[in-house]
Amino acid sequence: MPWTTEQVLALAPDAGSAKSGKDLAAPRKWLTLGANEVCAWGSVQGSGKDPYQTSIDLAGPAFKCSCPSRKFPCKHGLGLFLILAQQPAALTEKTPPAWTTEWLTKRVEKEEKKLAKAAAPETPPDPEAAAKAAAAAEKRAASREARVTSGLEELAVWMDDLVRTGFASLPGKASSFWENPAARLIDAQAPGLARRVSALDGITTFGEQWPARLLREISLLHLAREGWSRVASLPAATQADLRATLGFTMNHQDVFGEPAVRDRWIVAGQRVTEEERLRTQRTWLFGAESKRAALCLSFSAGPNQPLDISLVPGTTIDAEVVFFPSAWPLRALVKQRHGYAQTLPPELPHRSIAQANAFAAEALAANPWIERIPFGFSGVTPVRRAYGWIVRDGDGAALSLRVPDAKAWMLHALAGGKPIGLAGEWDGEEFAPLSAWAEGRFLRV
Amino acid sequence: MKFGELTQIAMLGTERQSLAAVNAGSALEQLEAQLDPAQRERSLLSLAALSGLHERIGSLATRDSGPVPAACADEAQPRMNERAGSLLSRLLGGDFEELLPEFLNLSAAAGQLAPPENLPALLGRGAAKPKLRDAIFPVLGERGRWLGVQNPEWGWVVGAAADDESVWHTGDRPARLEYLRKVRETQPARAQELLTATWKEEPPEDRAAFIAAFDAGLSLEDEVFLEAALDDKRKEVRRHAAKLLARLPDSALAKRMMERVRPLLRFIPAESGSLLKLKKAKAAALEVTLPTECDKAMQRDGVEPKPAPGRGEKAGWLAQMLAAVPLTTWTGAWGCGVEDIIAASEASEWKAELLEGWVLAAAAQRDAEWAAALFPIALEPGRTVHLEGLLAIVALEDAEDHLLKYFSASFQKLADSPGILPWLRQHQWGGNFSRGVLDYLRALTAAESNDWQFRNLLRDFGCRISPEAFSEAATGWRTDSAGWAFWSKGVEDFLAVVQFRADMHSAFQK
Repeated sequence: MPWTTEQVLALAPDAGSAKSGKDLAAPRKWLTLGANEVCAWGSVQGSGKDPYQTSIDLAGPAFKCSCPSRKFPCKHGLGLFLILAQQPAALTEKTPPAWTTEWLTKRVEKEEKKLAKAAAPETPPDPEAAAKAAAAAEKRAASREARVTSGLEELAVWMDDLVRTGFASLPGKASSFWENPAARLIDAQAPGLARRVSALDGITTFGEQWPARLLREISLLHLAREGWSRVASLPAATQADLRATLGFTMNHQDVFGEPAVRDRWIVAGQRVTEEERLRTQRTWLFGAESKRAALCLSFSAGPNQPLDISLVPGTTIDAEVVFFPSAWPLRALVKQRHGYAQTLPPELPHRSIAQANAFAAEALAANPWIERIPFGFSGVTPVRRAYGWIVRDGDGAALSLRVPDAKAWMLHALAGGKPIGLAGEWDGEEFAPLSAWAEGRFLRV
Repeated sequence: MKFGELTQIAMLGTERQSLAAVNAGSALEQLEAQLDPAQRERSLLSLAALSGLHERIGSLATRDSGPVPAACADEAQPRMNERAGSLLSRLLGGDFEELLPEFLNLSAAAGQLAPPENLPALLGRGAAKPKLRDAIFPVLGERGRWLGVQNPEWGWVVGAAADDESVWHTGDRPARLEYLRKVRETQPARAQELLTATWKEEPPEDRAAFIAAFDAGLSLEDEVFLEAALDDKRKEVRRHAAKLLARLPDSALAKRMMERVRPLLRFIPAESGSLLKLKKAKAAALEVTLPTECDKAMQRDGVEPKPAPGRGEKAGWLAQMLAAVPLTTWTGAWGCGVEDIIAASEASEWKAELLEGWVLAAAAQRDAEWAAALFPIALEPGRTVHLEGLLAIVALEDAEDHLLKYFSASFQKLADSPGILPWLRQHQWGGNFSRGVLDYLRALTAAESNDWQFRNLLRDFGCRISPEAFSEAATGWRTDSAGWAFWSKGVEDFLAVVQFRADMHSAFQK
């Protein structure tokens, strides 16, 4: 599967690593270089006494290097991968060295153990200890739920005040107006809602429509509180959505127990956002057969915690995916991969804007708190209007684009006035493109 | 209730405005009617949640019926491959951007086009840097030209494509200069007409720049215009006009100069010795009478009356006038060869001025024979001669051969020669010359030094060496030598540039 320079550089954890990786993409700097269908390897003299040994598992991709860097992938891994993408002929050795094959074997073993653990029947626990553990867990859960309830009651009072005095009093309020109730929600162990409240800071500056946006968001917070007050009476799927919105997390092991959906999953787009030093990576998948969408999240709290690089935009993987319970299942985990599938042309699900709108309507109707919905268009055309950029489909329907001007021109250049494949995020008002397919090529926007 | 109405109430606040009663009509309204109107705030929020979701879920996509530009025509030429495209992205992103012109030329020579996603950046680069436009235009293709028409910032594309005179009348100075130069190459008379028409209104700096463009396509047709320019208010304009006229052997200026200088020089042919007559052989000699004054007519014709520092006044006038006399005058008048005249000049007490005059003349008149004969002399240290002028006309391989011999004799001269370095940095070197310079650099970088200025030049040298020498450039560096600690950074830069260029060239092969 051919890798492009852009795909490799997108794996870099920061700009400094990307530059160092590019500097190391010169074969003359490496002592040995080699590759076969499943892996690549090389040794390079660093500042230490012995040369560093670098390996890449191409199926992941995954990296291993003996250098002391904590970054992932390190500059040696990036450099080696760039050589593979740009000058594969320089990888002259054909048989992997022992240090590469050992690492690959260990990876396979680890993967197998993980699956075995997920599939294995649970060993019957010691009944007393089990009962104790269960009781403690129940107590914790009850305590948290009580906190959340009281936190939401406080929030309700705050929202009542806001609505009573009116939004017109908001412009000019300090950030603390929003940060205080957000902090209270954190204390109440409802971080999901806290995030949504603090995101409202500055909303009065976001254009003329801000009162409508604010009302919409506040009414959804109100809906969450109302729902929580009668949570037990809600359908199970909606309970799951409400809990997720509030910020309750679910054990990944439990998710693995859900029924898996095997399909050719197109990795249609990826975006990393940063909030308060927490980086969140959203990777969107579309199932080629099932036409379903899936969202894989990866988090990083610091430079030593790497984001998951195993899902590469522009590729299609044959994989089994499991969904978190929801009235409109979207968040998912990749349970098992069976290799790469044909990448082009991508079978994106939305043939028209009307179809995408219907998709979004379904999602909202089932889960009112959903914030972003993925669209994957098989053919839309970017058009420049006096008020901004839009995309148009064959039926004359249009969506507003949210994209910097320079990138919009790039998309326009790519399209040349003809429809292109485009995937991205819809927030109810604007479409933010993440990936494009044109002239038989894939491009990250 | 409509969401918009609810928003208005929320703006004012429920303490100032209450909600209207709801008729239980539609399914939505029946839901709404279940709310407790006494709880104003809660009701408002619940209504907003219901109504907001209802509207959003039920909304249809907007229709766009505005005009769309016609789709772009298909390309007639192929696009460059993935590898070349990724190198171009790096260049446009700032890596090795001095190599962008070379890259574009490689692509144009291969008849290949830039990837569409790079076109906006290329168009923007052309807008900001007019000098790059000629290199950028060939790789734009249909798509690039189609894009250029749609954004006024990229209007230069239209100019480059149409190549019409509107640029001359409405463009800015760099654009007009470019246009004038282009027209001079194909229709010099037309260019003269254009400039004559606007000459009086042009500001002095523009006049100077435009008249310098007459360098291309120069002919006697331009004489009338240039002779008139000798009386221009601006000195630079007068200077350029004089220099250009001096290049035309049949011009009135050249004839005037000839009449002034002819009587000042007398050539005495060599006399062969004769044993029988007990006569010693005498070499050819040149008798020089210096001019007595620098009158207004001479100054009008471009002679600078103030002497250069360390130079005699009258001797300086002679040198300047010599530059304007057609060289064929001398070989014709004295019936001898170029080498004889030069040898005689070397023997004279006015050697420096004579040789400078000959060099200026050879450079101005593009006389390759004189230039080749003068070249070795021009390389000698302490020569305040216009080496660059000679280098411009001597055939490239000959110049490089001379320079290589020169460097082999003494390495230090490369670093010390003021005339050579700028020339070296301007053009691409031939294969042999590149190898010669590499050998020189390998020796230089083995020795200790702290010449950081020269070290910074190494990167530029990497841009100059011939593709033939790419593979050798990587080897033979003495990394364990005394000088390596100092030189390694410069050599690393050099090698990085060479590597990138090698990647560029190989991306366009096969």
